[in-house]
Amino acid sequence: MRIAYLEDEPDVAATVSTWLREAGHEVECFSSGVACARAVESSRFDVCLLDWMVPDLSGLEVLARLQIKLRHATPPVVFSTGRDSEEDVVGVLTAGADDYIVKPLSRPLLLARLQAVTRRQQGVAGASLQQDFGRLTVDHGRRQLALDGRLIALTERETDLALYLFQNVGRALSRERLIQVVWSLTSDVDTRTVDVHISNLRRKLKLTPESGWRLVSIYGHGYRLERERNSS
Amino acid sequence: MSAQARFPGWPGREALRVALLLAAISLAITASGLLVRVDHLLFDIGQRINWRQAAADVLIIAVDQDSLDRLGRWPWPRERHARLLDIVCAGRPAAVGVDIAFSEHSGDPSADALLADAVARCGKVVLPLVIESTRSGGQLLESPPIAPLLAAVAGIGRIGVHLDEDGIGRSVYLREGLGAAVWPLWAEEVLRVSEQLPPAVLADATGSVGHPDERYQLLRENARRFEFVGPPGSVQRLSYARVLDGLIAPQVFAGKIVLIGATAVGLGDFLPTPVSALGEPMPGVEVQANVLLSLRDGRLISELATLPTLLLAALLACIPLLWLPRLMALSGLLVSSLWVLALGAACALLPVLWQVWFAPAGALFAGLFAFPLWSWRRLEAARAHLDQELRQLRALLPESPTTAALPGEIRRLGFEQRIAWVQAAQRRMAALEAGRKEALGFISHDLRAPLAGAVARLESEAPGDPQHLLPPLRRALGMAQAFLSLARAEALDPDRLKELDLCALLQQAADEIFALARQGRRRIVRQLPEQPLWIKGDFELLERCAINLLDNALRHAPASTVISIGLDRPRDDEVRFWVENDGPPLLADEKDKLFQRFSRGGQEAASASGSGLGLYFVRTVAERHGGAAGVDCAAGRIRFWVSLPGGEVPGSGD
Repeated sequence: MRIAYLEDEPDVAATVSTWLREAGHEVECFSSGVACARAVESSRFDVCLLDWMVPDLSGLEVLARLQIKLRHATPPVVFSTGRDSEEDVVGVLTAGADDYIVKPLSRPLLLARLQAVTRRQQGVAGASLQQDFGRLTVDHGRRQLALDGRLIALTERETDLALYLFQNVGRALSRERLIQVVWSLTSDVDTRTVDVHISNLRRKLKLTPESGWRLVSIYGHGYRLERERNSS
Repeated sequence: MSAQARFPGWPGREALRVALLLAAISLAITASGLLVRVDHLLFDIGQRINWRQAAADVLIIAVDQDSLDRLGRWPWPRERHARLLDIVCAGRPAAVGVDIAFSEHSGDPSADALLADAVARCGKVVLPLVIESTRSGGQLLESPPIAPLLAAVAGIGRIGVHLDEDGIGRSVYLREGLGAAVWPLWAEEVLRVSEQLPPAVLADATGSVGHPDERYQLLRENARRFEFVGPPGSVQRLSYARVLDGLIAPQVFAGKIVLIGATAVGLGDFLPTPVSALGEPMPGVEVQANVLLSLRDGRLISELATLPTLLLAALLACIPLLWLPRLMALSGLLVSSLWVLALGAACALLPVLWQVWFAPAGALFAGLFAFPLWSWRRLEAARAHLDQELRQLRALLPESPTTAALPGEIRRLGFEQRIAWVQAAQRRMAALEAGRKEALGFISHDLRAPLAGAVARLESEAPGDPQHLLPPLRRALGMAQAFLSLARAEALDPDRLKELDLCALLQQAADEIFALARQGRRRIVRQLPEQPLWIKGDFELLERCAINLLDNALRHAPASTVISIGLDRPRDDEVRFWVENDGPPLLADEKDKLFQRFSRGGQEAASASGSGLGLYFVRTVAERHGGAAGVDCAAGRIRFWVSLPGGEVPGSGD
């Protein structure tokens, strides 16, 4: 995987570049937002890892520029930021970033997030008709979910939502996106409806750390389904 | 921003404005003559404190009550006057002024002739000319003495004195006459005859001639105020009867100016003067004596002309602004009062010392107004400043739940209210300052300790296991984050809370703490409802709240025990979430201390883990949400809870 990495602190840049190279990725490191944006515009990258605060062009500005120049060809963008307030995070996601990681970075989390956001691009989860997560199996073809071999009774919408979440494990999904995908034919859907369904899924599918899952609510923005890293 | 920058031109421009206003007041009053009586009052005061020794060479032969009693009622036969003149002139006086009008023939022509002979013999007699209105039509008429006398006199002069608005005589016209201002004063003529007239005094008394059509118009020129040597009776008097009886030696009159006139009350020749106390007017002849003395001694008082008077009035009105902007209220008041008094005194003394009169009423009045006007402007400026400060404070200070919000319209607030607002803001500032100090203490001590430990380890240890550095560094990082969260919680704007699902939030908090709980082999039991529960709140802060409570429980619960997190609704408009763990009951004062800043449970203080901010943060967040936080102990369990207002259960799921 070819990664464009924007970071103006040399120490951090060196460490993170090493992590990524050791994981088998090709990394190009930039300390200037302008240089980074130019490079991404001219050659193909699989994912961009952008720092929020860089001297000349902030990560957000780089993102805005890429969206104008490349439109749909923009590679997935993950932000690394020291600013972890709700406002900042939601701002980044609303601006079109695919995910964010709060500094200080942790190696496994970083690699997992990068994997998750690129999966969409490659359509891995969509292609696989059957997902096996140990106790939990997801059959996209039959639209069925089973826990410990027993089918779980879900409503139509809950099934849609669950399948979409399992296609995007590890990736931040906004409520608006969920509404678009799951409730596309229904008009006038309240964001509360999403919350209610998420709540139901958490309960019915036992999406808790004890079962190796976390269904994370990202402030007011949306949700992310992820594997519990520390689960056995 | 300095006060100067905020109020451009203050106080310079303001002083100029007030000065112009004062000058206008002063000019208006001076020009309109509204307070002319104040001027007269001051002038009279000046005159009254200015007693002088009456000159010994001027004396009055008075037709007093005693003379009337002895010689019979007025008018007396003219041969008696002739006899008196003979007696007086025998003493060779410098001049004799007779203040008795002989403008009509008496019934006895021989008596008139006798008098005329006596006047002629003496050669130094000056008779009066009266300008009076005739009985019919009010036309003015000059009444000189009868022709035989006119031929015999050494001089004729007017005895008219100008009466001011208040009916008091203070001034004379040096020249006056019908059609032409040619008649000199009687006093002047007496002086001329006695050869004591100072030439300079009358240098500008030209005696202009009026237009021929204005033959009956009274022309007056060269108004002058005159001084009084003292109250009535100050000029030496001799009784007419005693002189006539030869009781006075003729040498007494030698070289003196002798004035003859009526002083008896019954004869009615009296004038109210500045120096005459109430009910004690001055006889006309004594007034004339005062005019004469003023004229002779160069003590006639000129009035300042109109234009210089106005200029000076405007200028003096502005004087208080020399000190008002520099002085505080009390000293300003004192100096301004002193100024008014001093100005009044100076103007009263001016005619006494320099024979010039300036009417100061306008300047005095403006002087009285200077302090209130300036204080008003200063109060306005203070108010504007206060408003500005209030606005700035409002912009600067985070909304505090303890002080009500400032109303949008500061203008409508009363002065005391504004001050109360500023005081509240000051208290808030003080609280912020205290918070800042605490924070500094926290950073300099609590946060520095683990970092210093890590550095020390790096320096001292031979290349060892870097993993040893992780715990203190993690602790420092955790503290910094806790501190940041707290700062965020304290700055939370209650108006910007968003709707959120409290159940999902608590689930997530439990998820977050799961790994840590498993490390300590403790289990977290969720007693959470299945349906979402919507409240208004800040997701991040409330989640951190729940995590802090769970973290706290993890640190205090015995190993292998159960920690519960739950949610209930004690009332319809209240939601309460709680975290429970096994533990010994807490003492009451321990409970109170737990939620304070930088406090740690006894056990915890020893281990020095945790920032000491966790529960304080919980309480802060709860309070910023309009709720509360607390702790209950029962049956070997400790339950920390946070109650929040509101809470809405959805109808049905799909």
